Amino acid sequence: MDLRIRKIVTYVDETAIDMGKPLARTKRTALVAAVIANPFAGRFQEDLFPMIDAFAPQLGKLLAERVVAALGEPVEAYGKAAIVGLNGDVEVGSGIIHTLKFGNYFRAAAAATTLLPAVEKVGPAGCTWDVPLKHKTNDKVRSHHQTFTFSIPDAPLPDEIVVALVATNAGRPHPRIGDLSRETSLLDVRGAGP
Amino acid sequence: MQIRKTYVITETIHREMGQALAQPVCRVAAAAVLENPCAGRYVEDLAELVEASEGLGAMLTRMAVAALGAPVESYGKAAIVGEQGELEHAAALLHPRLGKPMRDGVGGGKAIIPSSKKTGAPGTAIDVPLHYKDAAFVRTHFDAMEVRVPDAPRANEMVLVVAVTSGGRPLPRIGGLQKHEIQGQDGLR
Repeated sequence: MDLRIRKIVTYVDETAIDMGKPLARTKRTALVAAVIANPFAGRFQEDLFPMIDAFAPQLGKLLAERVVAALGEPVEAYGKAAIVGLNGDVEVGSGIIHTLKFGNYFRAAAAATTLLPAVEKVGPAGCTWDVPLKHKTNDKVRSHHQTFTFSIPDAPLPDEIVVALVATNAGRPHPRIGDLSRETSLLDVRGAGP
Repeated sequence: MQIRKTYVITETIHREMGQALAQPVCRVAAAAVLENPCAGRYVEDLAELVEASEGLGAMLTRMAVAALGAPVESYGKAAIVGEQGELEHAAALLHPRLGKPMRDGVGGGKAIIPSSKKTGAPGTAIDVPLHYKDAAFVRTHFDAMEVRVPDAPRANEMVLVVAVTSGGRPLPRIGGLQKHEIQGQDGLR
Protein backbone atom coordinates (compact mmCIF):
# COMPACT_ATOMS: atom_id res chain seq x y z
CA MET A 1 0.00 0.00 0.00
CA ASP A 2 1.57 3.28 -1.08
CA LEU A 3 1.83 6.26 1.22
CA ARG A 4 0.96 9.35 -0.82
CA ILE A 5 2.02 12.62 0.79
CA ARG A 6 0.53 15.71 -0.82
CA LYS A 7 2.50 18.10 1.33
CA ILE A 8 4.42 18.61 4.57
CA VAL A 9 3.89 21.69 6.73
CA THR A 10 6.45 22.89 9.28
CA TYR A 11 5.69 25.62 11.79
CA VAL A 12 7.90 27.10 14.49
CA ASP A 13 6.68 29.41 17.23
CA GLU A 14 9.24 31.44 19.22
CA THR A 15 7.64 33.20 22.19
CA ALA A 16 9.60 35.80 24.17
CA ILE A 17 6.93 37.67 26.17
CA ASP A 18 3.68 36.52 27.80
CA MET A 19 1.16 38.73 29.62
CA GLY A 20 3.62 41.61 29.33
CA LYS A 21 6.39 39.73 31.17
CA PRO A 22 9.50 38.46 29.37
CA LEU A 23 10.20 34.75 29.54
CA ALA A 24 13.42 33.58 31.20
CA ARG A 25 14.36 32.05 27.83
CA THR A 26 12.64 31.94 24.47
CA LYS A 27 10.03 29.19 24.29
CA ARG A 28 10.20 27.34 20.97
CA THR A 29 7.47 25.02 19.69
CA ALA A 30 7.72 23.10 16.42
CA LEU A 31 4.97 21.31 14.53
CA VAL A 32 5.42 19.12 11.47
CA ALA A 33 2.34 17.79 9.66
CA ALA A 34 2.07 15.43 6.70
CA VAL A 35 -1.03 15.66 4.52
CA ILE A 36 -1.65 12.19 3.08
CA ALA A 37 -4.24 10.45 0.94
CA ASN A 38 -6.73 8.35 2.94
CA PRO A 39 -6.73 4.98 1.15
CA PHE A 40 -10.14 4.15 2.61
CA ALA A 41 -11.93 7.41 1.92
CA GLY A 42 -15.60 6.93 1.20
CA ARG A 43 -15.95 3.40 2.55
CA PHE A 44 -15.83 1.37 5.73
CA GLN A 45 -12.66 -0.72 5.95
CA GLU A 46 -12.67 -3.39 8.65
CA ASP A 47 -9.04 -4.52 8.60
CA LEU A 48 -6.78 -1.50 9.09
CA PHE A 49 -3.61 -3.37 10.05
CA PRO A 50 -1.94 -3.65 6.63
CA MET A 51 -2.31 0.12 6.23
CA ILE A 52 -1.08 0.75 9.79
CA ASP A 53 1.97 -1.47 9.30
CA ALA A 54 2.79 0.29 6.04
CA PHE A 55 2.10 3.92 7.00
CA ALA A 56 2.88 4.20 10.70
CA PRO A 57 6.65 3.56 10.54
CA GLN A 58 7.18 5.77 7.47
CA LEU A 59 5.26 8.69 8.94
CA GLY A 60 6.61 8.12 12.43
CA LYS A 61 10.19 8.33 11.23
CA LEU A 62 9.72 11.23 8.82
CA LEU A 63 7.78 13.42 11.25
CA ALA A 64 9.99 12.63 14.25
CA GLU A 65 13.20 13.52 12.46
CA ARG A 66 11.75 16.73 11.05
CA VAL A 67 10.10 18.00 14.21
CA VAL A 68 13.18 17.44 16.37
CA ALA A 69 15.33 19.17 13.73
CA ALA A 70 12.88 22.06 13.43
CA LEU A 71 12.82 22.57 17.19
CA GLY A 72 16.61 22.68 17.28
CA GLU A 73 16.74 22.32 21.07
CA PRO A 74 16.12 19.49 23.54
CA VAL A 75 12.47 18.44 23.64
CA GLU A 76 10.70 18.87 26.98
CA ALA A 77 7.06 18.22 26.06
CA TYR A 78 5.36 16.59 23.10
CA GLY A 79 2.14 15.48 21.44
CA LYS A 80 0.60 14.05 18.24
CA ALA A 81 -2.49 14.51 16.07
CA ALA A 82 -4.53 12.77 13.37
CA ILE A 83 -7.20 14.83 11.61
CA VAL A 84 -9.30 12.88 9.10
CA GLY A 85 -11.12 14.50 6.18
CA LEU A 86 -14.88 14.34 5.92
CA ASN A 87 -14.98 11.25 3.68
CA GLY A 88 -13.16 9.16 6.27
CA ASP A 89 -13.70 7.78 9.74
CA VAL A 90 -11.65 8.70 12.76
CA GLU A 91 -10.42 5.13 13.24
CA VAL A 92 -8.16 5.35 10.19
CA GLY A 93 -6.32 8.33 11.68
CA SER A 94 -6.26 6.78 15.14
CA GLY A 95 -4.78 3.61 13.67
CA ILE A 96 -1.79 5.44 12.26
CA ILE A 97 -0.84 7.29 15.43
CA HIS A 98 -1.75 4.87 18.21
CA THR A 99 0.93 2.27 17.71
CA LEU A 100 4.52 1.98 18.89
CA LYS A 101 5.39 1.63 15.21
CA PHE A 102 4.57 5.34 14.93
CA GLY A 103 5.43 6.78 18.33
CA ASN A 104 8.70 5.06 19.12
CA TYR A 105 10.58 7.06 16.48
CA PHE A 106 9.55 10.23 18.30
CA ARG A 107 10.45 8.80 21.67
CA ALA A 108 13.86 7.76 20.39
CA ALA A 109 14.54 11.11 18.70
CA ALA A 110 13.39 13.09 21.74
CA ALA A 111 14.72 10.76 24.46
CA ALA A 112 11.18 10.35 25.75
CA THR A 113 9.33 7.63 27.63
CA THR A 114 5.76 8.65 28.34
CA LEU A 115 2.36 8.20 26.77
CA LEU A 116 2.37 10.60 23.83
CA PRO A 117 -0.78 12.70 24.21
CA ALA A 118 -3.01 12.97 21.17
CA VAL A 119 -5.93 14.62 19.45
CA GLU A 120 -7.92 12.87 16.72
CA LYS A 121 -11.07 13.90 14.96
CA VAL A 122 -12.84 14.26 11.63
CA GLY A 123 -12.98 17.78 10.23
CA PRO A 124 -13.14 19.98 7.15
CA ALA A 125 -10.15 21.57 5.47
CA GLY A 126 -9.07 24.56 7.51
CA CYS A 127 -10.47 23.27 10.78
CA THR A 128 -8.56 24.14 13.89
CA TRP A 129 -7.19 21.39 16.11
CA ASP A 130 -5.66 21.49 19.59
CA VAL A 131 -2.77 19.15 20.34
CA PRO A 132 -2.40 18.33 24.05
CA LEU A 133 1.23 18.17 25.15
CA LYS A 134 2.76 16.67 28.25
CA HIS A 135 6.26 16.31 29.67
CA LYS A 136 8.20 13.67 27.78
CA THR A 137 9.51 11.62 30.74
CA ASN A 138 7.11 12.45 33.58
CA ASP A 139 3.50 13.12 32.69
CA LYS A 140 2.82 14.55 36.14
CA VAL A 141 5.15 17.53 35.75
CA ARG A 142 2.50 20.17 35.95
CA SER A 143 4.43 23.11 34.51
CA HIS A 144 4.50 21.28 31.19
CA HIS A 145 0.77 20.58 30.73
CA GLN A 146 0.09 22.67 27.64
CA THR A 147 -1.62 22.72 24.24
CA PHE A 148 -0.62 23.72 20.74
CA THR A 149 -3.34 24.93 18.38
CA PHE A 150 -3.00 24.73 14.62
CA SER A 151 -4.86 24.65 11.32
CA ILE A 152 -3.92 24.11 7.68
CA PRO A 153 -6.15 26.13 5.38
CA ASP A 154 -6.45 23.50 2.65
CA ALA A 155 -6.19 20.31 4.71
CA PRO A 156 -7.45 17.75 5.26
CA LEU A 157 -9.41 17.64 2.03
CA PRO A 158 -12.29 15.15 2.24
CA ASP A 159 -10.14 12.20 1.06
CA GLU A 160 -7.10 13.08 3.17
CA ILE A 161 -5.64 12.71 6.66
CA VAL A 162 -3.34 15.14 8.45
CA VAL A 163 -0.81 13.43 10.74
CA ALA A 164 1.28 15.73 12.94
CA LEU A 165 3.83 15.82 15.74
CA VAL A 166 4.49 18.73 18.10
CA ALA A 167 7.59 19.32 20.23
CA THR A 168 8.47 22.17 22.59
CA ASN A 169 11.62 23.12 24.52
CA ALA A 170 9.89 24.32 27.68
CA GLY A 171 6.86 24.33 29.95
CA ARG A 172 4.25 27.08 29.93
CA PRO A 173 5.66 30.63 29.82
CA HIS A 174 5.19 31.58 33.50
CA PRO A 175 4.20 28.42 35.35
CA ARG A 176 3.14 29.24 38.91
CA ILE A 177 0.41 26.89 40.03
CA GLY A 178 2.60 24.54 42.03
CA ASP A 179 2.96 20.83 41.59
CA LEU A 180 1.44 17.64 42.90
CA SER A 181 3.31 17.90 46.21
CA ARG A 182 0.95 20.73 47.24
CA GLU A 183 -1.96 18.29 47.25
CA THR A 184 -0.40 15.18 48.77
CA SER A 185 -3.46 14.65 50.96
CA LEU A 186 -5.51 14.08 47.82
CA LEU A 187 -3.27 11.37 46.36
CA ASP A 188 -5.25 8.60 48.05
CA VAL A 189 -8.17 9.37 45.77
CA ARG A 190 -6.17 8.19 42.76
CA GLY A 191 -4.95 5.05 44.45
CA ALA A 192 -1.48 5.74 43.11
CA GLY A 193 1.56 7.67 44.28
CA PRO A 194 3.14 10.70 42.62
CA MET B 1 -16.00 33.63 40.43
CA GLN B 2 -19.11 34.81 38.59
CA ILE B 3 -20.72 32.32 36.21
CA ARG B 4 -22.31 34.06 33.26
CA LYS B 5 -23.81 30.85 31.98
CA THR B 6 -23.46 27.09 31.70
CA TYR B 7 -23.72 25.11 28.49
CA VAL B 8 -24.12 21.33 28.23
CA ILE B 9 -23.74 19.44 24.96
CA THR B 10 -24.88 15.84 24.63
CA GLU B 11 -23.80 13.91 21.57
CA THR B 12 -25.16 10.41 20.86
CA ILE B 13 -23.52 8.51 18.01
CA HIS B 14 -25.75 5.93 16.28
CA ARG B 15 -23.99 5.34 12.96
CA GLU B 16 -20.46 5.80 11.66
CA MET B 17 -19.16 5.32 8.11
CA GLY B 18 -22.37 3.59 7.04
CA GLN B 19 -22.31 1.10 9.92
CA ALA B 20 -24.85 0.99 12.73
CA LEU B 21 -23.24 0.84 16.16
CA ALA B 22 -24.21 -2.18 18.27
CA GLN B 23 -24.73 0.27 21.12
CA PRO B 24 -24.92 4.07 20.72
CA VAL B 25 -22.03 5.97 22.28
CA CYS B 26 -22.81 9.10 24.25
CA ARG B 27 -20.41 12.00 24.93
CA VAL B 28 -21.23 15.00 27.10
CA ALA B 29 -19.37 18.25 27.64
CA ALA B 30 -20.44 20.60 30.44
CA ALA B 31 -19.05 24.15 30.17
CA ALA B 32 -19.13 27.17 32.47
CA VAL B 33 -18.57 30.69 31.17
CA LEU B 34 -16.75 32.61 33.91
CA GLU B 35 -15.68 36.18 34.51
CA ASN B 36 -11.89 36.08 34.87
CA PRO B 37 -10.84 38.08 37.96
CA CYS B 38 -7.24 38.12 36.69
CA ALA B 39 -8.00 39.50 33.23
CA GLY B 40 -5.94 42.37 31.88
CA ARG B 41 -2.95 42.28 34.21
CA TYR B 42 -0.12 40.05 35.38
CA VAL B 43 -1.18 38.34 38.61
CA GLU B 44 1.50 36.37 40.46
CA ASP B 45 -0.66 34.46 42.93
CA LEU B 46 -3.54 32.65 41.21
CA ALA B 47 -5.02 31.24 44.42
CA GLU B 48 -8.48 32.68 43.73
CA LEU B 49 -8.74 30.63 40.53
CA VAL B 50 -7.36 27.50 42.17
CA GLU B 51 -9.89 27.72 44.99
CA ALA B 52 -12.80 28.32 42.63
CA SER B 53 -11.91 25.24 40.59
CA GLU B 54 -13.09 22.81 43.27
CA GLY B 55 -16.69 23.98 43.31
CA LEU B 56 -16.74 24.44 39.54
CA GLY B 57 -15.36 20.94 39.01
CA ALA B 58 -18.01 19.41 41.25
CA MET B 59 -20.82 21.34 39.55
CA LEU B 60 -19.72 20.65 35.97
CA THR B 61 -19.08 16.97 36.65
CA ARG B 62 -22.49 16.59 38.25
CA MET B 63 -24.12 18.24 35.22
CA ALA B 64 -22.17 16.14 32.74
CA VAL B 65 -22.80 12.83 34.51
CA ALA B 66 -26.51 13.59 34.83
CA ALA B 67 -26.76 14.35 31.13
CA LEU B 68 -24.77 11.22 30.20
CA GLY B 69 -27.22 8.93 31.97
CA ALA B 70 -24.80 5.98 31.85
CA PRO B 71 -21.64 4.85 33.65
CA VAL B 72 -18.66 7.01 32.75
CA GLU B 73 -15.87 5.37 30.76
CA SER B 74 -13.67 8.22 29.51
CA TYR B 75 -13.04 11.72 30.77
CA GLY B 76 -11.25 14.91 29.83
CA LYS B 77 -11.08 18.61 30.66
CA ALA B 78 -10.28 21.86 28.88
CA ALA B 79 -10.29 25.64 29.21
CA ILE B 80 -10.39 28.56 26.82
CA VAL B 81 -9.08 31.94 28.01
CA GLY B 82 -10.29 35.22 26.52
CA GLU B 83 -7.87 37.67 24.98
CA GLN B 84 -7.21 39.61 28.19
CA GLY B 85 -6.29 36.45 30.07
CA GLU B 86 -3.23 34.25 30.31
CA LEU B 87 -2.96 30.50 29.71
CA GLU B 88 -1.67 30.18 33.26
CA HIS B 89 -5.17 31.23 34.40
CA ALA B 90 -6.51 28.17 32.60
CA ALA B 91 -3.80 26.08 34.22
CA ALA B 92 -4.87 27.32 37.65
CA LEU B 93 -8.43 26.09 37.01
CA LEU B 94 -7.45 22.82 35.38
CA HIS B 95 -4.53 21.30 37.25
CA PRO B 96 -4.26 21.81 41.03
CA ARG B 97 -7.75 20.95 42.35
CA LEU B 98 -10.13 20.06 39.53
CA GLY B 99 -9.17 16.39 39.54
CA LYS B 100 -10.60 15.33 42.86
CA PRO B 101 -14.19 16.53 42.32
CA MET B 102 -14.08 15.14 38.80
CA ARG B 103 -12.95 11.72 40.01
CA ASP B 104 -15.47 11.78 42.86
CA GLY B 105 -18.23 12.66 40.43
CA VAL B 106 -17.52 9.88 37.93
CA GLY B 107 -17.19 7.05 40.44
CA GLY B 108 -13.42 7.15 40.63
CA GLY B 109 -10.70 7.40 38.00
CA LYS B 110 -7.10 6.22 38.28
CA ALA B 111 -5.74 7.79 35.13
CA ILE B 112 -4.44 11.31 34.70
CA ILE B 113 -7.25 13.44 33.27
CA PRO B 114 -6.15 14.61 29.81
CA SER B 115 -6.51 18.30 29.11
CA SER B 116 -6.13 21.12 26.62
CA LYS B 117 -6.12 24.89 26.90
CA LYS B 118 -6.01 27.78 24.48
CA THR B 119 -6.68 31.48 24.05
CA GLY B 120 -9.56 32.46 21.82
CA ALA B 121 -12.33 34.82 20.82
CA PRO B 122 -16.02 34.07 21.38
CA GLY B 123 -17.05 30.93 19.56
CA THR B 124 -13.59 29.40 19.53
CA ALA B 125 -13.74 25.61 19.45
CA ILE B 126 -11.47 23.49 21.62
CA ASP B 127 -10.67 19.78 21.25
CA VAL B 128 -11.15 18.23 24.67
CA PRO B 129 -8.89 15.15 24.78
CA LEU B 130 -10.42 11.96 26.21
CA HIS B 131 -9.10 8.65 27.45
CA TYR B 132 -10.28 5.73 29.57
CA LYS B 133 -10.58 6.88 33.16
CA ASP B 134 -8.96 3.86 34.80
CA ALA B 135 -6.12 3.15 32.38
CA ALA B 136 -4.80 5.80 30.00
CA PHE B 137 -3.35 3.28 27.54
CA VAL B 138 -6.66 1.58 26.62
CA ARG B 139 -6.48 2.13 22.89
CA THR B 140 -10.17 1.89 22.07
CA HIS B 141 -10.81 5.04 24.06
CA PHE B 142 -8.23 7.57 22.72
CA ASP B 143 -10.46 10.33 21.35
CA ALA B 144 -11.38 14.02 21.50
CA MET B 145 -14.57 16.04 21.61
CA GLU B 146 -14.73 19.41 19.85
CA VAL B 147 -16.61 21.93 21.98
CA ARG B 148 -17.51 25.57 21.48
CA VAL B 149 -19.74 28.10 23.22
CA PRO B 150 -20.92 30.50 20.53
CA ASP B 151 -20.61 33.74 22.52
CA ALA B 152 -17.72 32.85 24.84
CA PRO B 153 -15.15 33.58 26.05
CA ARG B 154 -15.30 37.34 25.83
CA ALA B 155 -11.96 39.04 26.36
CA ASN B 156 -12.37 39.10 30.16
CA GLU B 157 -13.86 35.61 30.47
CA MET B 158 -12.82 31.97 30.56
CA VAL B 159 -14.65 28.80 29.56
CA LEU B 160 -14.06 25.68 31.65
CA VAL B 161 -15.12 22.31 30.20
CA VAL B 162 -15.57 18.87 31.77
CA ALA B 163 -16.25 15.99 29.36
CA VAL B 164 -17.38 12.41 29.97
CA THR B 165 -18.33 9.51 27.70
CA SER B 166 -20.19 6.22 27.91
CA GLY B 167 -17.73 4.46 25.61
CA GLY B 168 -14.73 4.68 23.31
CA ARG B 169 -14.52 5.56 19.63
CA PRO B 170 -17.52 4.42 17.54
CA LEU B 171 -15.92 1.52 15.62
CA PRO B 172 -12.61 0.73 17.34
CA ARG B 173 -10.57 -1.81 15.37
CA ILE B 174 -6.88 -0.98 15.74
CA GLY B 175 -5.96 -3.44 18.46
CA GLY B 176 -3.95 -2.43 21.49
CA LEU B 177 -4.87 -2.62 25.16
CA GLN B 178 -8.56 -3.42 25.67
CA LYS B 179 -10.71 -2.43 28.64
CA HIS B 180 -11.02 -5.97 29.95
CA GLU B 181 -7.22 -6.48 29.92
CA ILE B 182 -6.25 -3.76 32.35
CA GLN B 183 -4.61 -4.23 35.74
CA GLY B 184 -6.25 -0.95 36.83
CA GLN B 185 -3.77 0.06 39.53
CA ASP B 186 -1.32 2.55 38.08
CA GLY B 187 -3.76 4.55 35.97
CA LEU B 188 -1.80 3.63 32.84
CA ARG B 189 -2.46 -0.05 32.11
